Amino acid sequence: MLEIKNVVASINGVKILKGTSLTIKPGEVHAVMGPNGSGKSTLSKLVSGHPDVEIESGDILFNGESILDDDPDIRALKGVFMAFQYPVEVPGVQNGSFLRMAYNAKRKYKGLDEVDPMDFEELIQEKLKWVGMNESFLDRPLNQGFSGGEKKRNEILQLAVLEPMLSILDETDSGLDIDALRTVSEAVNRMITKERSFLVITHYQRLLNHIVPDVVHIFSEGKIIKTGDKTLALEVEEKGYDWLLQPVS
Amino acid sequence: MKIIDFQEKIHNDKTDMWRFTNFSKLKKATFLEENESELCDIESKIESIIEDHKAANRFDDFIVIIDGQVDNSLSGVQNVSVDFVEFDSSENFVDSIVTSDLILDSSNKTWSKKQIVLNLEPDTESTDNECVQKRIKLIIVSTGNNNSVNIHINCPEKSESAWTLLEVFPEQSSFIQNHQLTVNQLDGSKVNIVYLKSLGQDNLSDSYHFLSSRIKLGKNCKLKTLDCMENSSFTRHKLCVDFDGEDSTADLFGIGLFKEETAQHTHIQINHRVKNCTSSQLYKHMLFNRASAEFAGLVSVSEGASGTLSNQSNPNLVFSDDARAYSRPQLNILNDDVQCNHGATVGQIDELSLFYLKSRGVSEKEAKLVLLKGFIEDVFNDFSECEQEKSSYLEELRKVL
Repeated sequence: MLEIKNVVASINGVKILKGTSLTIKPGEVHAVMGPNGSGKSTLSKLVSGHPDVEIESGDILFNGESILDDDPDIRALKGVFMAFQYPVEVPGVQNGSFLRMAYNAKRKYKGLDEVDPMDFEELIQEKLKWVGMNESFLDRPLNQGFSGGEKKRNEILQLAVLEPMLSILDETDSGLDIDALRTVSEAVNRMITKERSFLVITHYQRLLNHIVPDVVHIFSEGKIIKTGDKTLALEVEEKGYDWLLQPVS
Repeated sequence: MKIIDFQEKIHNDKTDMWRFTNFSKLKKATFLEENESELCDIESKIESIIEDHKAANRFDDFIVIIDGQVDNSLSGVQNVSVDFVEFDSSENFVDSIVTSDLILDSSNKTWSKKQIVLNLEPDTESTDNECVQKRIKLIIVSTGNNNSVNIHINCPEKSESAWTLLEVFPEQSSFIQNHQLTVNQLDGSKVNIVYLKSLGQDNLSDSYHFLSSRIKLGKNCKLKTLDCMENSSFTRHKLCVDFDGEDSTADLFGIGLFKEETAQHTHIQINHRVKNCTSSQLYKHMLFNRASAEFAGLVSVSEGASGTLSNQSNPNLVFSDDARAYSRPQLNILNDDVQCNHGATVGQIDELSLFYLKSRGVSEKEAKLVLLKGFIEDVFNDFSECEQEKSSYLEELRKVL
């Protein structure tokens, strides 16, 4: 599904990713953990096509094709989705209208007819329940005035509606209380199929109690320094990152 | 014969804040005179334009002013009485321009010759608690025969009215327009005023517009204005609001979409003369190509105007390296018991917002449109009668992006 091949990338001239490689197969859930400033969020920006990320070398393949030259909207239409760590507030744009616009853009890309507002309203009801939101959220301006938790739920609502093939959750657990974390995780778990993959970026193991990863990567100084199964996350929770960062004698 | 040197006479920052005005285009323009053979064609076009506007919106009254004259046959008046006041012919235009800086006021009086006075009739159906809003549309048609219109609106006590002033230009030609509007709001009246030009009309690229408005508010009055600005070679709107009665509110909005080599000047002066009045200004501009826009807003608070609340905001979005936005929000406060704030921004579409929308599969053009729709939304919030104009702006933006 996703193959990141030895990517070196920088933001504002500062080299952040220093030879990152990662392969995610269909149906797999990968978790990326690491200390602050290790480049985890840059990794998510790299895949989704953030304009600030300048790639110096390497390649990103999505379903076997390079997406390096694709704009973020094309990557999204192909099936890449990033749930933002800090979702952007867009005043004056109705949440529901925007969601329908994005949904229709995807249908159009697939050669399907666009859905009208009535049909979309019907379609979205179940997804609203998944993330514990009520219909009034759709009438509010996109993310404006939302609490931190509401913004994260809204990201997962978008994910649930757009049904991407690869979902990147960039610290979705930050700002969520325990109940919200459970609700959001359950919504994500409903989305997991044999075809869909997830890349979960987090600081804490508690999210991984709910969204159980197949593979855990430890990220440091712009590259993956250790890969293991879900027990690696437990180990990090117990010991911290220091033991992984110390140079091997 | 005296030659009017606009640049010399008007370009005076100290008296009239024309600092960024470039009159070179105006000096070079050629203003065409109408000829008889084209007139019949224009009349049929005017009728068709008016019919379109009648069909599109429901208005209680419909007043058509062609080249400064009210056309009774095309107008439909129920709630407004129309009077005329002759200007004093002893006021000599040429003398006044040498002695006064108010050159546009003087030339308007000289060429319009009389003032059209629109008296909103007292509402007999209204009760103490409820008032029925009267919606009046003024279609101001300019064929090139007369460049000046002078309108005065009287709003009686506790009346509620929404006035839409639409300028229509049926023919493609170079022309200069110099209009004046005065409004007198008596105690307890609520007035909405929308000023707009025929949106999407591409033949305005060689036109020059001057509009000067002065609105006086009595006690407990509410005023909302919306200035919809679009392509003209040169446009200057001067709006002055005087709070003469306590506990009144004035909310002034403006939206501008400038696509070509145009210059827009908005000069506002709000005079808080009495206690407990509130004013706000929100003027938003979008500039493309070589367009330039200037916003100069002055809030003046007198010594006796305690309890004044005032807010002033002028965000500008610039889409080209050659476009220019000048902003001068200003406060002149002579009282300690006031809350006034002002601000202006000049920038581009927020890259992060654009990325966010694109990351959901929305194309760059659509994402920009979504953001611009959000940008203009709050300007139109209080003007339900302008849904059509809002859509026109979005259509125009779609073309230009």
